[in-house]
Amino acid sequence: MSTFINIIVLFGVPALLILLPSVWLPVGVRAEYKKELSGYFNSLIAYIFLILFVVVSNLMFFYLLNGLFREESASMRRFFAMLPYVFVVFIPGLTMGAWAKEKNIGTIELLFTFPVSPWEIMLGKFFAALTLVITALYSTLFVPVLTQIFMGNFDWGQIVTQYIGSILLACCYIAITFLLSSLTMELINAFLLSAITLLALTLIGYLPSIMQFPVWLEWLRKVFVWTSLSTHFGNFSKGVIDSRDILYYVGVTAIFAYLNLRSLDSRKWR
Amino acid sequence: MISVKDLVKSYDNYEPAVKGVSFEIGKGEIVGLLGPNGAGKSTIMKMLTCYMNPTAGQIIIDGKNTMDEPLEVKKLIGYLPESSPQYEDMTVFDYLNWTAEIRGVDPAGIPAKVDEMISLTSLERVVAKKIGQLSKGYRKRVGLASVMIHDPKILILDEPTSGLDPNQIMTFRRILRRLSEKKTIILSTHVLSEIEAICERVIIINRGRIVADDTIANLVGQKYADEQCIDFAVEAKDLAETEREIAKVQGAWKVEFEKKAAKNVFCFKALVTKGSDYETNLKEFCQNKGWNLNSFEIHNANLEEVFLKLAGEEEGVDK
Repeated sequence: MSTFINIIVLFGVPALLILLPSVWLPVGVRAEYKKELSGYFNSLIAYIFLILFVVVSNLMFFYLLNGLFREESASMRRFFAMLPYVFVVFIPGLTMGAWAKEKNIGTIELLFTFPVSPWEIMLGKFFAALTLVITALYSTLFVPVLTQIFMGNFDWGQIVTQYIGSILLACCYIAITFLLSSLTMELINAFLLSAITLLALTLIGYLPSIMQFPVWLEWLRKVFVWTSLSTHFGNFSKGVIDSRDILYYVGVTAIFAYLNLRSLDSRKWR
Repeated sequence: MISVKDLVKSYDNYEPAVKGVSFEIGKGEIVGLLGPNGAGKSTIMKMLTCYMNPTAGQIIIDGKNTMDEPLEVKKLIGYLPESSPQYEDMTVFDYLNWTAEIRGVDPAGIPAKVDEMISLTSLERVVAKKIGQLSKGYRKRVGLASVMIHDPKILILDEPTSGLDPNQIMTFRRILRRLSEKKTIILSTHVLSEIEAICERVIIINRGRIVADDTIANLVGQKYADEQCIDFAVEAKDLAETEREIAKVQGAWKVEFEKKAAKNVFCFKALVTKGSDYETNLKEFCQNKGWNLNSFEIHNANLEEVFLKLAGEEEGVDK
């Protein structure tokens, strides 16, 4: 019985996640979602992304900084502490083409002369990228599951919180990289621009801990700490769900999605 | 059906690409937008399809303003951009299915529609291939199939035959003629034979302005009936010298070298207005030079010559 439930959870949940957007969303979102997702798999990006993500993040988890087995507790906190940096490279790689490629080959002219709103197309692309990230995160679940089976009890509350935090973080990263992708026409520009921006936004949160801020720059320290993508992730990786963090992530995602729509609309007036 | 009033479009601070264009297109008309490169044809089309907004003026399509109800307008239109961009890693079949879906075709009717389009544009042989592997002609046909899949009332085709070989152009024209029974079609081109073969009406655009808007028969038969074309052949020694010297003969507004008929026999074409004394001037000139005038024929101007008169002249002045 329990294996039956496990199988449902292991395969049913991702199937549901992938299929849901393709069933109940507006026509434009649904069509774009399907196109983007099949595009990822047709052009091998998805395979490279998934394989590299699994290999890199697990190598880092098990071997980097002495590795998992030196630690006293069965926890994935180290894994999630590294995740923002793994995402800095992986998410721009996934989303660099979102608009830049369409602009480059001219299909953007098709997309915006179809009878669907730009937000539907953006949402379709967003869900497709998010689906791939969730799939990648899902593949890391075997660590806690195996540990549970062979080693001992995991704190499942903490794990669930960490996964929720990762998904919210991924949403932010995707929204930011989408905006940057819509500003350029070349894939490599979009990638570098996105990776540098994300790295900066992630690192500024750590600046106060490695350098001394003078008193009159106290406000700057606060700005850095509060706006950094990584400080808000810290709570999640400790297993704390704070409404401020959720608000921050949802807000950043919404703001960048809005800016993205504006930047796409600007073509009409130039 | 389509009513365009005082359309203006300027990009940044450059000279406007479209400067106050107005025209009306009725239901079921096939209209050719004709003009040299950079005349503003593509810009007008992009505004008609709601891809860009006009800087000034308005476009009403089927009673709807393109600025206020873009989604409603887009439903009526099938637009094929100039380079016919497509997703290269999709197969033809997937691509057609996808465009049908995103254009809001009823899901139950999609397979039938896709089949219909495939047979209309004769794509049977390449259905399972990826678009990236297709030749340019097939890609254009895929593009055409994808813009007609939702049965739009209006087709807007931006240079649909550019880059095709003569065989493919014939096929393409046949497809367009088949369609012309039911739809309003606007197509842009700088190939004149195209317009003569397909369109009933032509709008000639030069530097963002309309210089002529009429049926082809009217343009050639009435408005510019006074325009004439003279074909003549000269027997002389050196082509470059002959060309330079012939240009000095008074009376024609354009003289062009056409071809080399035989060794030292060069064919020219001169465009003149009725009543000009080009004929006598030329004969006199040739006599003085000691060249033989082998043949001399006068006939009425066709669309190509009318176009040269309207849009080609200025370009020559610029150089």
